[in-house]
Amino acid sequence: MKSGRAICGRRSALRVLCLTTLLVLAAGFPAANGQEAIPDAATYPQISVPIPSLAQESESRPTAAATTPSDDYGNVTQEEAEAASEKKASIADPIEPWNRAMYHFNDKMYFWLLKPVARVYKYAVPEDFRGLFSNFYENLKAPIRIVNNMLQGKPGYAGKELARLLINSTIGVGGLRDCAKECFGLSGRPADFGQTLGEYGVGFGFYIVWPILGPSSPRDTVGFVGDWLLKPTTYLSSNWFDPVTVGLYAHEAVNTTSFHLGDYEAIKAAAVDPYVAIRDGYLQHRTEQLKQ
Amino acid sequence: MTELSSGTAEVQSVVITKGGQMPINYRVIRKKNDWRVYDVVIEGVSLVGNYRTQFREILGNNPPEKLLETLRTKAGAK
Repeated sequence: MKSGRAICGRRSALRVLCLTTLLVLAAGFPAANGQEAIPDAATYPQISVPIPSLAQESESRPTAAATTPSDDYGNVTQEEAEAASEKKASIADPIEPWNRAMYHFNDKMYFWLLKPVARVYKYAVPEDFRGLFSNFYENLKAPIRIVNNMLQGKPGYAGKELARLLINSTIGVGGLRDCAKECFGLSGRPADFGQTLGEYGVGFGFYIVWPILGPSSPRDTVGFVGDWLLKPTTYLSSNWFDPVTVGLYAHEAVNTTSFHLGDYEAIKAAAVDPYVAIRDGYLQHRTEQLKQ
Repeated sequence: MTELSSGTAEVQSVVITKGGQMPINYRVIRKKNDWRVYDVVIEGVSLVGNYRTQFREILGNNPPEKLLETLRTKAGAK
């Protein structure tokens, strides 16, 4: 934990901002979920699917679409599309008004707080350094992956994650470098408590958007608490909201976001209804993780 | 590359950056002698599926004209 302390020390200015940082990490609606929510976003911009033809192919007018190809792709028939994507999962949204309100709150947190901070940070800190920090925070979360790979009946991956933790904490200098992958080609498998519960047959329940933390469900909320208990940073202090812990979390959110500026904007711009797009993204992403 | 059904397949790729990595899979369909991309799946999220959900949501609460109008506005705005 020495390096952890060092970071806190350097960022001691954050102590003053304790309250604001709490907000910053919230803005991490993309960032707070770390690797989870963000990636979906990043990919959207690069794709330009002709929306009008999609509209025809989906429910509205399958026959017309089948007979008159609208572009040189021809048309993917309903049958072909269904064959590729197995039965679509769905998630209940009984508290949609609250969720939409929280979505807008998180949206504002991103544009007004997290994004400006992350932009300055990205400008000030070279990419290589930001990469070291992101390795460091990933390494801190190794216990979560070890325990949950174990609980999900994947001892092989649990062992790999343990080896990664040991290698990266020593040769990797406190987790700053991902030497396990770079030097030994050793990759792990992401695993968290929400996933474990899903593996045991617990359903999402319903969709819930938390302020700051972003898209979740009762199942993943319980999972979040479990993960939090396995994070070493949780035990840096006996207080619930310790400036150091909060500062670290805020820094992680800003650091992660610095790699994903523009992702959320792109998702939002491409979506017909961004709220629904993100809800579906959460559902599909979490469902897919269970299959791996 | 995995076969999804006869005539469709999924091509897997991973984009690696300093901030982490991201799987991007392309779903392709055989049209005559060409393979054409018809869907992109990022971190398990299908683009077509994502739009389908959005359209369904709109169609569930509004007449079809509303969806068409929304799409026209969106396409015009770009």
